[in-house]
Amino acid sequence: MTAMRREKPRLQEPMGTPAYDQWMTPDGEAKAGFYRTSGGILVRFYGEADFEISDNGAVRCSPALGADQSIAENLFANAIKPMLANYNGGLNLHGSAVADAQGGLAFLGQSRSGKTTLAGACGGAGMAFVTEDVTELKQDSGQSQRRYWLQPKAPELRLFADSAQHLLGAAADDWDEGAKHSASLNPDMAVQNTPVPLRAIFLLGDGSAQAVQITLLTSQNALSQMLQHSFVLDVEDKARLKAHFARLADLAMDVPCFALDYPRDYSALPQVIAAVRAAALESPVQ
Amino acid sequence: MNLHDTIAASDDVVSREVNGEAVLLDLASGQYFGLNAVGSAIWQILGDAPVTMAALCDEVEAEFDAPRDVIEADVSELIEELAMAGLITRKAA
Repeated sequence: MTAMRREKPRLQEPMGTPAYDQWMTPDGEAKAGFYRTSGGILVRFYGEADFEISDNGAVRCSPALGADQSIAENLFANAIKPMLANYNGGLNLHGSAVADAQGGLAFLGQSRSGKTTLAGACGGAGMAFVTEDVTELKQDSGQSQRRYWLQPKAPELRLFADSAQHLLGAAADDWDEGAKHSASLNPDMAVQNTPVPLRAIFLLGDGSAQAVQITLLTSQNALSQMLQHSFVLDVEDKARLKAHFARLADLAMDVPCFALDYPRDYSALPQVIAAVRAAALESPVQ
Repeated sequence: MNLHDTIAASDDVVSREVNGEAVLLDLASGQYFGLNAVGSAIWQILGDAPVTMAALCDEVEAEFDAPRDVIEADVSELIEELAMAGLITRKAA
């Protein structure tokens, strides 16, 4: 298991060398930069924290001076750990997941695309909550047909204030509207505590649809879209990237993948949930 | 396009056949590309080893039922597109 050693907060001094990769927000702002160091890789979340990952996989975190100290823990859990897991052969995607008796449904998408809100709403509609923000999949190894198992995570949602108020009735009046906050699930929401087989993947659009739209994707399209939602530590490590690409290709061929878009209006969520469940049920088992 | 030019898949490209069609990921740009069945067959040939245009057309001719001049025109067009996208390298004869 990957552990993090926490250092004292420090000023984020200029790195001196250009980043070999960057994560951008949907608004086009640089969220994080990836730098090579003499001992490994430094991932800098601008204004938030530096993570130094040594060649042997050890992680040291230095929160940025003045940053909220809880951010480092969240970045470690929701970005660094999945990147390291994928680097070592795992399959972690940026998304949330829920389950019912027919299996698990994963919602993948960009930041602020509504993944967590949709998963939370599914929880309110009787489905079990599986995971939020990071969807970890483990593959069956002993069967002729590959199956993927969603791994449950701590029952907590990271939400913006408006979604928290809508889904959980959380007292979020004093929350910073531009930042996500952690909120516990309502006690009446079911929680999936054991791995559950993945039934379908939904790739969330940008919310421009005027009504609920669900389209079954070809495996090729699903693969190209899933690439945008995976966690890659070193885009220059061709051997690892090739292996990761192959794992995603298998997933795209083995599990039905849908493009999903809908108006980002809370009142539309029941209709979205019904449509998603119907699509998953009707989809061919590949 | 000279039939004696040598074509090779770029080292920066990883590919995977998905339901009979190739999906390519260009590591240098982060862009991905899809090829149809014919393009996928050509990519598979390129993936094995560098090959001349003439040899590439020979292999396509053996696999697909089409006149030679049509094959040469179609292969040439695809190679131009792949070159424009930076997915292959070309070495002039």
